[in-house]
Amino acid sequence: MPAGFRHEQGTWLYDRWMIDVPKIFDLCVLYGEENPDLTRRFLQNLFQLQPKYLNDVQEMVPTLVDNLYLLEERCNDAIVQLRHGNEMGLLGWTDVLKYLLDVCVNLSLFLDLYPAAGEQLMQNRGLLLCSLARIHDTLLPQFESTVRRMAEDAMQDLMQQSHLVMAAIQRTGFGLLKAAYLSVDSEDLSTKRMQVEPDCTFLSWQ
Amino acid sequence: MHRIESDQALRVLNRDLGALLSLPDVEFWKVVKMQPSLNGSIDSYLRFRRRIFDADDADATRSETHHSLSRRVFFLLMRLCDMSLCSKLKV
Repeated sequence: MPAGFRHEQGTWLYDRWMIDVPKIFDLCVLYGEENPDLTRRFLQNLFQLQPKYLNDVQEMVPTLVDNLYLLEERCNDAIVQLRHGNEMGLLGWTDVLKYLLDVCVNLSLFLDLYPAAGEQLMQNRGLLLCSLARIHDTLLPQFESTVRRMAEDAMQDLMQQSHLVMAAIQRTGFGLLKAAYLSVDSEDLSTKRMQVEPDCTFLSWQ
Repeated sequence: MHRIESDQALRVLNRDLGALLSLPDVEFWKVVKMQPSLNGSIDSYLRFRRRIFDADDADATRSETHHSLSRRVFFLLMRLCDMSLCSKLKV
């Protein structure tokens, strides 16, 4: 292949959207567990070939945080409805829990395979970790305590899904902290200046 | 009927990816750059393929076609960003 092709290759891949952040996460989820070495190699080559993809990962964080915030607001409204005996508050919870599980599985697998991205994901004062912590520490326990009072068989499925999501958030939160602060590839910890939101509620490990 | 049509689409994609991956580097890149539908096909496959935590994953993804297609999609993406693998991946 002609010289300079590699630079052109990286530019072309990026400009034509042949590979993008959603595809990167899809790849991690679909192949990362059964083929971790190859998937890891793919990520290393990709980010070396085109560093803009890492910028895109970082830029995805504020959007994801906004989405999680909107989700929390709607879910809190639904919990209030449920506490007033309005079963309409149950609508959509399966989708919410699936969405949260999807987000957490994507993030934690990506971090397992490419821990160097932890720094990008912990930018914006660690808001992503804080959002997940709030959902784990406050939203889901409130949901579970509300649903538990309803004592119907159908609630068992929702409770199990909620437990699954909480476990996934724990794994993701640990992955974020580990990748950002404890990775062997990271700089000396004493030089790290990661700022986290002061009112961030940290995960309560079970 | 939808299931039959989607299986057929997957077989066609699998066949076409196999042919693409068999090409030497120069021809490979010519085809990749000239096929606007390739990106859409890969995007759809990755987006809609069942995840491990999807309850109804089971039989749909265990056929030989699905297994072969899964490998070829991965190899295509690998080859797009890793030139050293070009001649080494068995498709």
